[in-house]
Amino acid sequence: MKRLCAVLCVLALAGCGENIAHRQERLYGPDAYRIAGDTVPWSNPPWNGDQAAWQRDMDNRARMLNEYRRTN
Amino acid sequence: MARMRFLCDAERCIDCNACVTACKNENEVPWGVNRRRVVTLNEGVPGEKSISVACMHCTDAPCIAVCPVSCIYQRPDGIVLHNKDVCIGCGYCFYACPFGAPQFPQTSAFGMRGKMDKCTFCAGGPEPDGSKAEMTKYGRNRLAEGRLPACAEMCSTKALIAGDGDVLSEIMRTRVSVRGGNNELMGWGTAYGKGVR
Repeated sequence: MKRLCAVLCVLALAGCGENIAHRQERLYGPDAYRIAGDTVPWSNPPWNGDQAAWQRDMDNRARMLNEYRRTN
Repeated sequence: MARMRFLCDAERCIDCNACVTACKNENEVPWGVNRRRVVTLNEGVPGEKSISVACMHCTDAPCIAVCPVSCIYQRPDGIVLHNKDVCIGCGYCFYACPFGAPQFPQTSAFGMRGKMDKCTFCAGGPEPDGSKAEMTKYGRNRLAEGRLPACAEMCSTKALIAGDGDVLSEIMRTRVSVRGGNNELMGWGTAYGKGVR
């Protein structure tokens, strides 16, 4: 009986052993989206993995929100 | 790596709610859920200020920290997304969020909550980009199409802008220099007044 209690205590405490650093990495880290099953937007055509080209296109599009630039 | 951001210029926002409508239309947001809303301070008083608020995609997002099932995650570009297949609708994220961004559709009688729904920065979710499942669960993935969030692109006065933080700073610098005047043309003093109640 004592042995069973000891095993149950160990099993109950096993749930408290989550590695916080690992959780941080899994949720905030650079691979968080991949672990969640997501993909990055530049993986699609026409960029096909070219992150710099996607970034350039997005920045140009964001600059078009500046009407001072659009009118001049 | 870019850090995607929203920025609302309180000097320009006219409380037209076009951003709210654009968001609901683009993402087919269900009845009773508003991913974005316009908040007006000192409404009816001369000099009132309006600001469009949604998920701010915080750098150190408190919703991620409190989620008991770890369904919320942050992408390398700073966008905070969540997995509706994992969400249990507990509402912890709603309590943790300082902006009240997480929304919960009422799925049945007696106020029963559904899965959390929030602004995705028009970046969809963890389903294949552009798929029907992504559209149904999270809305349109405009970022994968090379477009910015619908709310910012639809804003008539361009009070709400979205994109990489550096580009947004560049736009605001131009605006402030064109407006002239002093530092009060943007920032805390403009948005919240002089602190006189």
